[in-house]
Amino acid sequence: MATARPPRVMDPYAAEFWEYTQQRELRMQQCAECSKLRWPAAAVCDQCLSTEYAWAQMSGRGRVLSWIVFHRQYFPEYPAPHPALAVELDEGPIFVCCMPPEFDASVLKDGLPMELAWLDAEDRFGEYQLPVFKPAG
Amino acid sequence: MADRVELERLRRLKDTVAIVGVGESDYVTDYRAGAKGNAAEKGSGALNSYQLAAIALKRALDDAGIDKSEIDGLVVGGPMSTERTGEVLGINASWCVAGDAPRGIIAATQAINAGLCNTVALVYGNAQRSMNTQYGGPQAMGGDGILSYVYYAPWGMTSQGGLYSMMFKRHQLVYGTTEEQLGAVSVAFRKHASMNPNAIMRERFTIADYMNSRYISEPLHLFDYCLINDGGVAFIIRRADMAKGGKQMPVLVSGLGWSEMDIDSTQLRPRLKDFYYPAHHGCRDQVYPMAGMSPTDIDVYATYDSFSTHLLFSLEGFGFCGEGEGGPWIQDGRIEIGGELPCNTSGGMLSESYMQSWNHQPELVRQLRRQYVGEERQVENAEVAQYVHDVAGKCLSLIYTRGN
Repeated sequence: MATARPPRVMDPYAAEFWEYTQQRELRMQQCAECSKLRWPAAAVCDQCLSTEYAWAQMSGRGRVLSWIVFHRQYFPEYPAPHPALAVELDEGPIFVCCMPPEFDASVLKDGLPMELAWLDAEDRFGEYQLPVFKPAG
Repeated sequence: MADRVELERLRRLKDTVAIVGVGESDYVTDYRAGAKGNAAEKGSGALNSYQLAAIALKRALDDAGIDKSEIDGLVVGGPMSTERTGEVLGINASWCVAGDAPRGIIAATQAINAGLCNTVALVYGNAQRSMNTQYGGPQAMGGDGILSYVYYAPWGMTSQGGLYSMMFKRHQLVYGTTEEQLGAVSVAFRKHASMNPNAIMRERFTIADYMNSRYISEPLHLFDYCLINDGGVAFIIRRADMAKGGKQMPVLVSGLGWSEMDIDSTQLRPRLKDFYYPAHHGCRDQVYPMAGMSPTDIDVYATYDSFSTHLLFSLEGFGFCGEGEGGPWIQDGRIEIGGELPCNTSGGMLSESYMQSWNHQPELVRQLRRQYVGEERQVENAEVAQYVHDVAGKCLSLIYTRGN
């Protein structure tokens, strides 16, 4: 049994994103015309409105931009306290996520190098792999 | 950014409409409805939004001294539909839109100037406590409008408070702002609420109490969060020449501005990298030149305050202090009544009532009418008031002046 998590927001473009995560690949849409990376997934490039794109693989590296610790519990799947963070990927997009459960917020610092990790997950759309970030090294 | 030509067109709208009547429901009674003096149970269904809006409208009409038959425009806020609102209130408008208070006021100003209507009722009712409306967690509302409210649920990230907390944490990392500095906001607003009999939370607290209060999403504490309560607000906006000689001194809409940052909003780029300052600047560069004013002209100020952080960021973005200087700037009573810039003088959404931009407007109107003269809560010699609305980078502002 995979770990139950609050449901994903699903649409045809999000479905493609999550399909890649099954193979533990973090990919984002890159515009075929102007090369802008967009996140979250969307129908068109917000810069040039092109509908053509490729799924560019991210390096899985980034740096801590900000974080918080929830002391109130909002989801049964996430007992408080639990941290959430924003990681600025080396490729540019900001990725909001959590850390693997063995890490707490005391390890975080502004600009701390982070690397991609994966957690097992399940919601009403099925089992999947959840991309998260942890301190690099 | 507003260029010179747009400003010339904007300036033509200056002082063309006035707020002539204001009203609201009894927030305290509504909060404790059917619960023996305690807060009403969430989800009790004790009140409904239309009932609350109707109470507020009746009071606004009485305040203005005009009859409902004179209303020919309608702005509907909160979870109400325009059709049902027109039906319940008995108004067949010649112009009607839905929106929050600043969007409604700007739209009404445009509609009146376009000749579509002359006297607009702006009404809001929200039985959000009775309906058990959720702003975080599995049933969080608003995701259809602002995707970041719901998108990060799989990672446990949720709630508007969580997003503003992450923004404040970034401000701490970049500028060294402290929780203790931010505490000055909720302490000041509570002090203001203590002077307002229609405010729900009136017990004053100190910075020490603030620091001892529990975290909801660290670094934000309980007192950084607004209330969730039922209530209704209404006001009447009229063509300025028709507003003269009425029951109340008209309060003129002398400036307005609007600027949004929506690009990359779900990944929080404008929030975490820019603190929405560019949206503030775009709005600032319309509202002040239109009114022919600058921040030093503002006698009383109100900001949207679902969280205390809104005040900090808006004061920086609108130029009351430098970027990153908000923490030290708001200390020592500067934002309290009697200080240099009294802010959210009714107690705001943190302590008076969470009316989602609506309760700030009647308070500014009454301050400019000097309706509280003889009371501690009156801002002395108030001539100019400003409202700043910054919700997730959608920044709007209004400047009001006395129409005597």
